[in-house]
Amino acid sequence: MIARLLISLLVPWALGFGLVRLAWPNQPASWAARLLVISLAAPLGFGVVSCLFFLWLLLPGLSIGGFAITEAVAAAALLGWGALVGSGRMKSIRTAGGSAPAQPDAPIARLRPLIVAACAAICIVGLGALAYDCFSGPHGGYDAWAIWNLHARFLARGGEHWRELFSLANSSHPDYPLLLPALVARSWLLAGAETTAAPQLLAVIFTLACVGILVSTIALVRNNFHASLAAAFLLGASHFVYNAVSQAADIPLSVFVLAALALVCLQAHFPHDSAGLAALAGALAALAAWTKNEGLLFFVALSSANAAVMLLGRQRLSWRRQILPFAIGALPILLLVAYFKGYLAPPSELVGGQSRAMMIARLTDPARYWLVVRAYITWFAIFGRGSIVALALYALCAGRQRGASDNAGATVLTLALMLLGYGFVFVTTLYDLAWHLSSLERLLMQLWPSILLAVVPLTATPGWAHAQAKFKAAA
Amino acid sequence: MRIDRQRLQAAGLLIALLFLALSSLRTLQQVIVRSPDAPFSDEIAVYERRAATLRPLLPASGAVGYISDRDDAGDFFRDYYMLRYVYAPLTLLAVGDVPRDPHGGFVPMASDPTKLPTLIIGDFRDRQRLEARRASMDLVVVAQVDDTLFLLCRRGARDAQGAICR
Repeated sequence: MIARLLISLLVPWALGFGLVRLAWPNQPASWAARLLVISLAAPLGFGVVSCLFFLWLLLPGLSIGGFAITEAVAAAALLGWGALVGSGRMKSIRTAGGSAPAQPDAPIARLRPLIVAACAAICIVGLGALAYDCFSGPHGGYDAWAIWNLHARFLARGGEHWRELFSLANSSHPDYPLLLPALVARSWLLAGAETTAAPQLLAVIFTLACVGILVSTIALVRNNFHASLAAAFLLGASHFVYNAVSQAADIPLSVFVLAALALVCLQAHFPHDSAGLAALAGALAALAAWTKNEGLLFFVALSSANAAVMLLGRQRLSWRRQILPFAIGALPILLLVAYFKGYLAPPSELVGGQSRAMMIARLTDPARYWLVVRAYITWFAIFGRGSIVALALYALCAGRQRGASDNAGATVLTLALMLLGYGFVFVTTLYDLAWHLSSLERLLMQLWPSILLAVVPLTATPGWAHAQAKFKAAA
Repeated sequence: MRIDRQRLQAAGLLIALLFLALSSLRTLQQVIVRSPDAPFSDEIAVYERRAATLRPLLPASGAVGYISDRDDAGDFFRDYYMLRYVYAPLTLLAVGDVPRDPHGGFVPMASDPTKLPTLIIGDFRDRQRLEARRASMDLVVVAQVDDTLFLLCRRGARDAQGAICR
């Protein structure tokens, strides 16, 4: 059973790996680029097989064995194709005729051992807490068994009656997208047993992918110092560690948000692969919408932020190399989400459960705005025992690095729009507002890796951080 | 001026790393002393074992009733959610009064009181209240897991195997 489960997890990763290699054939030969490909492969591959599993549920006729073989063949084909393109034996259509890729200006100097040791110790303690939490709660947190794994049980156990999931009452949120439940149900069916190891391993994979994407992206766009610091901030934040293996969809969502933003940032550094990177960003942003309702807001926020930055003339976007590939990457998944939302899922209680008059009354009540603002200030202060405050303090002390703002405007604007969107939902919520605002902890946790991606690279590198910095400067 | 900036950077890094080290050690300590999710996970494992007894007597899909003597909304909803998780993909239709959830959650109810589901899972801590319910709704105890969990059936109706409940 364990072997079958591991194979069921390896196949999506291989599929994702092939897709990333195909989309980014000219990746530099650095540890950061290799780590980024390995880390991106997980959310992309798992996202794609989640969509395939949902299609399998919708179009019965193929056995689960047949589905597994189809999936494995597709993964092997993509892996082979990606390897051929990556090794230069085949030319990717998008990069045919392209010259050598632009290399990022990441310093290769070694970090001072004390900084490396401190960051590594913080990461090891964080990962230790995460591992302990994983083993002590096999069914995950409250939301995991009350919502996500419950939905997975409907999909895995329900057979042809799996649509009865949508008859659940609002407290089970049957309107929530199915990326995570479909992944868990698929793993159970392929493993041949309903083991708690499946959602646990998926939670661990997504968490490690989050760390990998953050560290490698920052190492590529800046340097090892900022990458180490970002890893320490991520794994040193208590709320991230508590939620990491809770088996809810918040960490997968944070990974898709981070991955899409990271790829948007990387387009400026790898212009010859920008079309492929844009397609990957589109697919990952759409997969965020297939993970949670907040992901839909993210997709709109990301698209709007990029459009706004372009219209304001802060950044040039190419229709052929960026906008169109982004749309092509996102479209198939968005169609699936639209079908799910339009034909299967009941309307969200936050939207469908109230009249226009009620919504206007809430929107025109200043007391609700004040409650929301106060909650934002409080949660910004206490999140991760003060991690956001510590990050802000560090950024103030470190100062801003000149010229380190590639696509930072779009990233910051996307995050600001997300926070504004959450604020709108809180102001208009039909739930008890004070109680509903407690979910800000999870919402901030979803954005925490992306906040680090936006802020840490903007800070200046201290001259003494690298052991060889002086030598290199003199050289 | 350059030296000042470097000192400021060093101070910022030192504060950040010290904060993160203390925070992560505290997180590790809290996780080891009392994992936030452990109580629920343990309880679910117990529920799973209890539920195994009733599983063969329940239909594979569709709806069964759920009746409980929990008056406190927190207790009612927690036990309801746990049983629903254990018996998924069965839909548990609440029968009788349901405490009001202050957070706006609700559970699916048996819409027509005269057309109750044939099988009803009873979750009673008070035996007298169970007997009172049985009498008022003309229910038969089909199976009993322990002192609190029962499978009830409407007298004269057919159970999941097609047998008439007597």
